[in-house]
Amino acid sequence: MIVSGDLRREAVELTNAQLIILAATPVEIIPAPGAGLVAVPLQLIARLTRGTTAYSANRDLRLEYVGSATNLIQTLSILFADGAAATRDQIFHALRASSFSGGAAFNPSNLAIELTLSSDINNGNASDLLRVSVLYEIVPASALGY
Amino acid sequence: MTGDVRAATLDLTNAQLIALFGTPVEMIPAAGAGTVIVPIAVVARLVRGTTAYSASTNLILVYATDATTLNNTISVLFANGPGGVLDQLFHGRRATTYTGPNNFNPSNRAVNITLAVDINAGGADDLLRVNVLYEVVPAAALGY
Repeated sequence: MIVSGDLRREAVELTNAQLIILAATPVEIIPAPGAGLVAVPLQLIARLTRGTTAYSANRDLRLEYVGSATNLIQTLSILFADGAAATRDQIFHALRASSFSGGAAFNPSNLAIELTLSSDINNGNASDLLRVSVLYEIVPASALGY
Repeated sequence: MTGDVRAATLDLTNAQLIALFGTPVEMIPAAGAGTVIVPIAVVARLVRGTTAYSASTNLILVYATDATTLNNTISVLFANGPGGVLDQLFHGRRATTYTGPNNFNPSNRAVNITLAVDINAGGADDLLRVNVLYEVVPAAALGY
């Protein structure tokens, strides 16, 4: 059987106001794919453009299914705090996690995927942007018996 | 949006292989203004005669003008089995993570292939065949 893969891409721009609350207030990047479908991230690319005020810390960018706290991508440190007092324009790539184990009875079908950070940050500049694009696969949930 | 995934293939000759450390070869051509290339997976096949190379070493993908490795460690066994022919397949994938230098703009850049160290010897008929699967990301999604 030859099955053509269904690969899609989504992108979002996160402002400074969104970044400083992102750990507690995740932002949707991949919408729920519809009944009978599971979204599986493949890789991510992100670009941080930052003014001269550094953030309080570097933090890991995370992808999580809504309702799950398990990271779907490899540990990716965004250098929010590097180069204090200088502007930053930096590109980051991350591959999907080596493996993902959902919790018992966790059903990923028709779930959106959100962006979040490993922990809070603050400061930065009003004009800062973190742009993120994610390549992902749509898997028929029936292939998994959902 | 639909993902734009493509493949590129390349045959590297013995002459190119022994110069590859100092002279990288274009593996994926620049995809055009407004695009960024992100590698996904690598498949390579080494077809070598009886003369081994001086060392086994890692195959490396880099953006043109940047030295940061885009793929995980793939050791190509150029030096294995001296005195015997070698026909061996290798798989690799993109690096777990990649962090570009500050102010590096990857849009409309080719991806080059190189080696981690210089090698020499081998045979004139040797070939390293490489196939790279990659994504083309619209640069506008990243604000370029």
